[in-house]
Amino acid sequence: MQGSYEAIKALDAEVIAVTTQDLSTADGSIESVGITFPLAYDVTEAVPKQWERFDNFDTELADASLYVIDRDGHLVWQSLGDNYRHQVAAETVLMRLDSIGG
Amino acid sequence: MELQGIYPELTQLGGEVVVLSVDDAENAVAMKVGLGLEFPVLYDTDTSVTSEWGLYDLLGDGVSAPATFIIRTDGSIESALIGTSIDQRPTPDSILDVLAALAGMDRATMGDTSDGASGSDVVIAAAPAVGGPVPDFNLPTAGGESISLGDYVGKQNVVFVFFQAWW
Repeated sequence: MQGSYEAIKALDAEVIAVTTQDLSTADGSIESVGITFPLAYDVTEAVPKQWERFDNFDTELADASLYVIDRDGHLVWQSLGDNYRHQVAAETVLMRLDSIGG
Repeated sequence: MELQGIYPELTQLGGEVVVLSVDDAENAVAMKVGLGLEFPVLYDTDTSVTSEWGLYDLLGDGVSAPATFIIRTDGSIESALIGTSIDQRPTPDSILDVLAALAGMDRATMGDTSDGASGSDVVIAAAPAVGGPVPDFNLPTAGGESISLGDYVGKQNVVFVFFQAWW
């Protein structure tokens, strides 16, 4: 995600990430991976539970999920992984963003 | 607390309870643990939220006026009851009736709810569907600020991910 962040921003979109991991673990990631997009903490797990994307695979983690939301606040595309590691190809995300207009 | 008693049925109707207290964290935790509350108890120690909602010291008693809001899945308010005394609150049945109406469900045909559906931790009941609106949230960020999906409505498209540290 970090690798495609500049390309996403070039399409006038923003990345928002939510983690249920604790502050120290997530902060370590920010330093080691060099995350520059907004990363929000949800140690209560409320948001992934609300989206029905928490612990569906007995991991006690948020399930890997990526959503494209248009500027009207509507969900236009989603990729729901079948585990917590699933990732979406950057090209796919960029194509979806491009299709709704940057 | 009466809300705990109806919590299983309330969650089965697609609702969620979020309680906001102006107590400090210690008292809020004590209330949640002591009463065995399954739903989130938030504390608004600096009264910023209750002030913004016009409830803090509304009755001139230095605390928040008792208030119950039922919020639709699109974030708008379905009903609000602001009491003039601590015991002036909607009845549990009236809350369930409103939620049933919103969900298009018939409480009489729901059957036993005593197994305690776990539900989600926020007001909106169901996961967002493609083509529909997404629920908002407000969470702290690494920089000590806060962020909401709503901040971007009308401004930018958003790629929203549930993130793990090894990404």
